[in-house]
Order: sequence, then C-alpha cells, then structure tokens
Amino acid sequence: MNELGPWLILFLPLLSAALIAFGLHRSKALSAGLSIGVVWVGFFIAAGFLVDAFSAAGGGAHGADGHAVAAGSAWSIHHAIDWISVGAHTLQYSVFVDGLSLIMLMVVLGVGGLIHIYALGYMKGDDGFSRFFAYLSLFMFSMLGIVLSDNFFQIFIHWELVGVSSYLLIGYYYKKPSASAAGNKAFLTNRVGDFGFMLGILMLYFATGTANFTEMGEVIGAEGWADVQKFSMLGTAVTNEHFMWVAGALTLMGVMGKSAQFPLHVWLPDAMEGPTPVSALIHAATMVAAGVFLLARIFFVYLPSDTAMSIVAHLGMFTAFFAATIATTQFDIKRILAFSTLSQLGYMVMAIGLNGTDVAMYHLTTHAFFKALLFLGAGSVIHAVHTNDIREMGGLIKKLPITSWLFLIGTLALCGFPWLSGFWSKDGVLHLTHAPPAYADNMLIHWLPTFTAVLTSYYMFRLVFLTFFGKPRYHGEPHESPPTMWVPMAVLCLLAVIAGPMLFTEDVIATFRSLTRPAGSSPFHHIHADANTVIHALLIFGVGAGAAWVTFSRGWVDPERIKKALGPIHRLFDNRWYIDDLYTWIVNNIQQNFARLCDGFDRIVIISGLVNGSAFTTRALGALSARYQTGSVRTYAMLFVAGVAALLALTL
Amino acid sequence: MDILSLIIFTPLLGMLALLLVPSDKKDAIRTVTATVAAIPLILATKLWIDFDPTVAGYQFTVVNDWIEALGVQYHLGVDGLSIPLVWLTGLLMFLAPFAAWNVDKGTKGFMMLVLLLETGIFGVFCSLDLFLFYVFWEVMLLPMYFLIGIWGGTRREYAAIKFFLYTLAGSVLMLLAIIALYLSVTSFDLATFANPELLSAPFSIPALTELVANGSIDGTQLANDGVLFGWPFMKWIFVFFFIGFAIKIPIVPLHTWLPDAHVEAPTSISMVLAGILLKLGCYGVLRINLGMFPDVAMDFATIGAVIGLVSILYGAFVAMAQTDFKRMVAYSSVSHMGYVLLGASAFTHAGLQGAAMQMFTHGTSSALLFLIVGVAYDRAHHREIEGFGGLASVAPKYTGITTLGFFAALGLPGMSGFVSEALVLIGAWGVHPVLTSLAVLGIVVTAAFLLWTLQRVFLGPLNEKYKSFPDVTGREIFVMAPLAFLCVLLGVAPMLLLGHMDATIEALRQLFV
Repeated sequence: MNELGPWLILFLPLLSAALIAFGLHRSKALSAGLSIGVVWVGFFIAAGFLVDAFSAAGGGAHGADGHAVAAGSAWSIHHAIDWISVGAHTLQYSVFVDGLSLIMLMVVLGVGGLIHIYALGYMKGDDGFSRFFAYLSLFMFSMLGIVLSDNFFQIFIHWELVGVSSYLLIGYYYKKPSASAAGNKAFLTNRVGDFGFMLGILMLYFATGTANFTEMGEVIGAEGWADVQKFSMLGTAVTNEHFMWVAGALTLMGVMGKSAQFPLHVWLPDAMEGPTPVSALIHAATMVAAGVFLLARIFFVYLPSDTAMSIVAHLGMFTAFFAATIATTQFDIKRILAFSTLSQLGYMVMAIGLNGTDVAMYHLTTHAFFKALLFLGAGSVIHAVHTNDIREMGGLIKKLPITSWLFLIGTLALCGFPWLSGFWSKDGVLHLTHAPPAYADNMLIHWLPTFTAVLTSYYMFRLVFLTFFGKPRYHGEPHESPPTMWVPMAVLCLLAVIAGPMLFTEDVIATFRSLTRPAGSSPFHHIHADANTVIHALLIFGVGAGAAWVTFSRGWVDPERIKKALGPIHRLFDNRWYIDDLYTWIVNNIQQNFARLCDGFDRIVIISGLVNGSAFTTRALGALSARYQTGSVRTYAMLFVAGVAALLALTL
Repeated sequence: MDILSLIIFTPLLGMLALLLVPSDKKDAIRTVTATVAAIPLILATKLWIDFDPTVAGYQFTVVNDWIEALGVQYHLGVDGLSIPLVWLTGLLMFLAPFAAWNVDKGTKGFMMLVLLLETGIFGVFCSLDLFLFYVFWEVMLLPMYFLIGIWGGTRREYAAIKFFLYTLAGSVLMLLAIIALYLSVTSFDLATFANPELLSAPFSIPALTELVANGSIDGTQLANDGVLFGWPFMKWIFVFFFIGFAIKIPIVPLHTWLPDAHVEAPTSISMVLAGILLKLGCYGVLRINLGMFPDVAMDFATIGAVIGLVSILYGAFVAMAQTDFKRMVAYSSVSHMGYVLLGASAFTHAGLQGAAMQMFTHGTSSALLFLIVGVAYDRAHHREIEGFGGLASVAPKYTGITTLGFFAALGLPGMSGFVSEALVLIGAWGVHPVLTSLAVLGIVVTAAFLLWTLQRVFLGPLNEKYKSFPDVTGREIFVMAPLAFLCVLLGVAPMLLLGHMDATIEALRQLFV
C-alpha cells in the first residue's frame, strides 16, 4: 500500500473529475457519490499511513521534554518518476509523505471529506450539481499535489492548478457578473504572486542545482554555505545570505498570492462569491493554507537570513492586524469570515517568521477545523434566510438551534477561549510574539498580535450577536438545515473542541516531529499552558467580546457614535484601506492606458509610418499583380504547377 | 519512391486529381481533399514511429542531382528539429479541409490551393538543399496570397498584398544570402581544396555547415578581408537570413502583416497560418541561423533575446487593447513566438528544447484558438469581444473547449504551453537573467487578456441576441478535439515530444560550447 497508496490519494480525485466531465455528469447521484467516495478512500489510505508511521516511530518513544526522537524512526514514503529530462535538467514528479505532509493530508482529506458531504445538502437542486462536484474533485487533486510534492517545480504546477480550480469554483455561478469578475481577480492576483514565485524558484534552483526540497535543504543548510560570496546579482557580487533573502522574498510572493497576504489579499474577500462549501474548503481550510504549508516546507530557505525571516514575520503581523480592522466594519457574514481568515493566516505566516513553524502548522490545523465549521455554519444560515447581510438576521438561535450552538462553539474556539483548540494554538503564536528572536524584537511584534486577538473577539461576537441574538430582522420562516449539513458541522465542532492536548498528546506530537524532515519544519508544537496563559486568554476574550456585547447586544453604546468618533479611521477600515480602489485605478488607468498606448503605437507608428511609407512600392507591385490577376485561380495554380514540373523535369 | 517525397508530393498529386472533379460537386471536392490530406498524415505518423530518436543527424535522407549545371540537389532529410513540424503540418493540413467545409465560393480552387500549400510547407521542412528550400518557400507564398486575397474578409486585398510584400522582402534578402554562399563555394579551387567533395553541392545545407564550421567560408571569398560596409561579411549573411525568417515569425516590429492577414483570412487559413507558417520562420532561425552560423549567432545572443522579450511583452500588451477577438488572438501569437527567440538566444539545452517545443505547442494551441474564433464568427458574423456575453448558458461545449484552449494559451501547468515556456525560462535564466525575469511578466499579462475575454464573451448574463446560439457541431468538435487533446497530452507527457528532439538539440547545443 505504501507503494501505490500515495498515488491513489493523488490521482483518484483527478479520475473522478475526468469521469464526471466525460459522461458521469448526467447522473447527479453518481457524480456526487464518486467525488465524495474518492476523498474518503484517500482519507483512509492516509489514516493507514498514520498508523504505519506511529508503529514505525515505536509508539512515540521520546525523551523527557517531548522533543527528542527515537533513533531509527525514519518512516517516510517517497516515490519519484522522471517527468522531464532535458540536458542537465531533470524535473521529477513525486509523492512524498513525511510528518509535515501527513498532518496536511489528514487536514485536507478529513476536512475536505466533511465539506464534500455538506455540499451534498447545500447544493441540492442546483442545476450545475455534477459540475460542482467535478470542480471539487479537480481541486482536491490540485491541492493534494501540493501536499505530496517533493520539489519546487511540481509544487508550482499544482500551485497554479489550485489557482485554476479556485477560479472555476469562485465563478461557479457564472451568470452572475460579480462571480466571474471575482474568479478573474483571484486567478490574476495569484498569477502576480506566481510571477515572483517562479523567479524565486529559478534563483534557488540555479543556486543550489536541485529543485528537490530535501536536497536543497541539505545544500543550503550546509555549514557556512550562507556566508559564501558566490552569486552575482545585476552585476554585483553578493553573499549567499543576501542572495537568499531576495530569493526568499520572491518565493514569498507565491505565498502572498495563495495565502492572501497583504498586498495580494484582495482576491479572497471577493472569492466569497463562490458557493459556501467552496468558501469553507478552499478559502478557509485548505488552499489558503497552502502558502503556510509551503513556508513550512521550504523553511530552510528563510532560516539563513534574518532579513528574510523578519520580512515574513512582519508581513504576517501586518496582515493579521490589517484584516482584523476591516472585519470589524463589514456586514456580509461570509466576508467577515473571509477577513478573519486573512487575519488568522497572517498569524500563521508571522509564526513562521518568528521561527515557529510548528506553531504555525498547529494553528493551521485547528484553524481548518473551526473556520471550516464557521463557514459551514454561515452557509447554513444563508441557506435559511437567503441573505448574507447580518443586518437582516438576528435572533436565529431560536430557529436554527443546532447551527447557532455549533457556530458559537466555533467562534469561541477562534477567539481562543480557554481549553478549546484555538486557545492552545493561538497561545502558541502569542507566546512567540512575547519572546521574539532578535531580528523581530520590537514593540509592534510584542503587542500588535495581542491587540489583533482582541479585535478578533470583538468582530466575531459582533457577528454572533447580530446574527443569532437580539430581535429577529429576517424575512420569511427559516428552517434548520438537514443532517447532511449539520452532521459534518458537528464533527468539525468536535474536532475544534478536542484538538488540544486531548487529540495531540505528547506522544502524537513527538511522532510527528520525528517523522518530519528537514527537522526545522516540524509540524507540531509542544502544547502547554499555565494559569497566566489562561488569564491572558480570558482577558483578550473578555475585552473583545465584552465590547461587542455592550454595543451589539445591550445597546449601551450606539455603533453609529463609534463610527462618528472614529471618523476617517472607520472610513479607512470600511473601505478596506482603499487597497482595492488603488488596484482598480491602476488597472483601469495605468495598465489599460499602457495597452492602448502600445496599440496606438502599433497602428500609427508602425503601420502608418513604416508600412504605408512604402506605399509607393505597394502600389507599384499592386498594379503589377493586378495585370496578372485574371481572376481564375485555376490558371494560377496551373502556371505554378507547370513551373514546379519544369524544375522537376530537369532532375529526371 | 521514398517516404519524404511521398509526403511532399501526395498533396500535389491530389491537387491534380481535383482537376478531374467537376466544380459543382462540392462535397466530392471536399471529400477528395480530406482523403488526400489524410495520406501525408498517415505517412508522417509512420515517419515519427520509424524515426530513431537516439540519432542526432538527418534521417530518411534522399540525395539526387537535380540541376547539375548549378550543383543543385534534390536533397531531403529530417532530424529531431523538423520531424515534429512535419507531423504537425500533416495534422493541421488534414484538419484544414474540415475547418473549411462550409467554404462555398470557389470550393475547388480553394481546396486546390490548400493542397499546393501543403506541398510547399512539407518541402521547406524536409529540404536540405538551400535552392530547393527556397523553391518550396516560394511555392508556399502564392497559394497563401490567393487564399487570403480571394476568400478573405472585406479588406482581403490589402491584407493579401501586405502579406505578399512582407514575405517577398524577406525572400529577397534570403535569396541574396543564398547566392552569396553559393558564390563563396564556387570561388574555391577544386584542385587545391582540402575536401573537394564538399564543393560538389554548393547549396547543400550539411556541406555548407561544414564549410562554415571549418573556416573555409569566412567572407573573404566575396569581399576584401571578409568585411563589407564595416561589418564582417558573415554577419551580413546571417542578418539577411534572419530578417527573412523574422518576418515570418514574426518579430516586433516586422509583425504588422500578421494581424491583418489573420483578421481577413478564413478560419481554416488562419489556423494554418498561425499553426505552421509562423513556425517556418522559427525553424529557419534554428536550422540556418543557429545551425549554420553558430559563431555569428553568439554575437547576436543579447539582441536576439531582447527581440524575443520585446515581442513577448509588446505583443501581450497590444493584444490586451484589442476589441476584435481574432486580432487579439493574432497579437497573442506575436507574444508567444517571442519565447521561441528568447529560448533560442540562450544556446542552452533547455532553452533550445523549449524553443523547439514552443513551436509545436503554439502550433496546436493557436490553431485551436483561431478555430474557436471561427465558431463565434460563423454564427454571429462579427468578432467584437464586447458584442457577445453569456454564451456559456447556451453553448456549454463551446465554452468548455474555449476554456481549455485559453488555459493552454496562458500556459497553465498540465498543458503543453507551460512545459515549453518553463523550459525556455529555465534555459534562458542562466544566460539572460534580467531579460528572463521580465519575460515572466508576460505570463501575467497574457492571463489577464485571455481571462477578460473569456469573461466578456462567455460568462455573465446571456446576450439576448444569442438566445439561440447553436453549440459546436460534430464537425467542429472533430477539428478542435485533436488539438485540444494534444495540448493536454504534451502537458502531461512532454517527453513524447522532447524525447524525439533531444539528440538533435544536444548536437545543436554542442555548436555553442
């Protein structure tokens, strides 16, 4: 199974997409069944690997501190085939399962499987039901390729394939102009990121002579490699450290695109035009986590350079804060969650920049559980009230009790309420910010993430109070969603609750760490919390949720007055810091005009100037050819053949 | 008769056979043409199978004296560089009659010219004698002129004459270069020359290559000190050949015949024009400029890469500004052909492989795009991108195949264009890092204009005018499906193509170390 298993995990979804596209789409039941089935088959194969890995690791033999690993626990699966081989370059296609990809496999397949089931209920009765499942399968294939990749070129291929699946799913309701516009925005923003990513890959590939992660890690990690003065950039000799941060920053552009980090974050809120299961699966749990996963995978690229690490840390910090401020002003339930996702992804990226890959991967995992749950909850609400606007909801806890309670638990988990999963993982991140490495030791890193956490509690409880409590403002008669929808939510909720020390025991963590290489990108963080941490977390929660409570539940503070008091700051947040407007302006004015300029140049200078400048010749030859233009093609053809035949005749 | 001659002259025989079919029996004419065109495709497939990919040199060679007075030979052969293009020609020329099935005006003349064109194209790719090469090159020119000038759109005569003049200008320069080489060879003294056998065929590409390589032909035969107007004579020859080919590629700023020719040409001819004729220029650059004059080519490395880069970016930006669907696709061709030049100017294995593969992949994807435009034009009788809207609602199959074609053109991984462009970038990175970085920008711009077009034509609410827009017919699918299939196949398994070219490309690269 180790031989075939990873290939099955990877290619069954592709097979499913192809079968649905070529014929199976006529039967909705078969299409959905196949699409869901392959994900769960993949999940169980991956679970089998998990069992194997644990037994190979000797049941989690570990040292006293939980970090040391048992000797000889070298479990991993790696199969590669030569895909392209030209000259000195061999590009491989591979499946690579180690601790890092194993945890990611479980997240993608597990959360993905649940969301597939949810979609069965959510998409019921939709005209494009089969098409939807074909796209989902295509997405799963693309995403799993990122997870299982052992080299840069393959990851780039799947990186773009994820982009195209996301494009198709965002634009799923293609008759809506806003949906297809959002799809374009997503794809093009990601292409801008991929532009840098590709350059980064080329730099690294040529510098190290390999695209394989493990091999490249060994080259770069070698003693003293980073200090060697070896490369020339734009004619200047630079040290590898200098070279590495440029390569790292370019590669980071790929992360900015997929994980929607500032300033390439603009596509993610718009991507909410896609069906809600898509928002949960792709734009909350998996695709957007790919950037974080990539950073963990290629951690060794950033490690030698403090500059690179610092860029990553500050980028994440800013994105987390920036997105949270916007979330406090939005009214579209899915967009609030989208900005929240941006913000949480910022936390993960920051954690990596602060040398906490394990913390980042842990937060990625817990976030996948509770954010998918929140999106599915939002979907259930939208399904019931047929609007995304939280001003037209209110009091839904009476009509949708299951959804509401599940959503509430998810919110608590996101806000880091003690002993829920988000508490452990977010504490890990905040812990890093309070004791940052020297290159990022400043007040912003110390306090901004904590303040952002307060904002998180505020905007989430604003959402909760406006949606589920207070006076009903909805129209019609909302009904609770069917079990196909709430059962997956309940499972995610359970995971969001137990994904602390209960699920990830010391043994589990030690095993994941031992299976991962290079060791710097360890996927799990040693979970711990003392009384101080709990108080800290409660304080953050209390301030944020309390502010939301007095404003949106009690009504002691009028939100309008806050708006007025904050004035331009509120407008800044409400207008997403004007970033989208800036981009729109650039596209409409600079880029379009540049294109028109080129076109005008083409028409006027080249065609009129150069071409018609030689009009005399044209006319002369035109007249000449006109004289011979008898209008009969056959005459021409015959003359021609005669000529050719005459020449041929000379041969014989 | 040998297989290459069969491939070349079967269409010519078919054309003569068409003379026997009465003009009003249009279906018979179409059927005969398609049947005739199937033969070279089958033969080219057999050629592909029999080809030994481990051998770098020419295979299936035929050498006969032709015009003894001038030493002209009937010299044919294929290697890894030409064999994919021969097969591609076979495929596209087989599909062309189907794409042109509804040409009703002068069907017989049209089909005869298509077959004549096919003979010319095959001839160029298979010729190993410059004289023969030139003859076939000219054989292509006339049918193309009439196909555009008679069966084209409203400005067909302007477009046809422009096409004719540009190509003719290129041909003249090429002819001058060929004559210069001929005179160089004939100036040697047969009795005292070290390798007299090389002098027996003054137009032979392999012989000339060797004479240039061993320094015998160095320009001194024609000008004092081998210098003419302050430039080494060999550079002049190189540049003359290059301009002749560059017009065909086309490079910026010699590209302006292309949008006009494409816009006016009927769909099937646009398909052949983009799919194969542009590759003739690239083929010439690789075969003659690089293969025969590697030393001079190295002097022009940066210039070549800059021209490639300018074509990539300029073509893409101009395409972005187009409102005419077909013009947009035409300019995207200019952009895509820039990659060929960029890869070729790197003289690395990956760069050359990428360039050679890009010729083939663009041949399939651009032909597909022109067919897609043709479908819209046939039904709506206009090509304004803004004039459609929401076609996905009424024509799902058409939308599906267009999406596939567009993604192939924008170099999506999993499609052939990605592999060739990635190879070009990998190959050129080590040599021209800055130019290559800028070229990567082209993939963003290309994605932008293709997706915007997709959105404006196919997505959004349905334009009421096209409520009954018929989806693609079986015939249209028959023509488009093989091209779409190739785009995917070579994206997934590129070694099928690269493997056949590898030995030849390696031999070519050896010239530059």
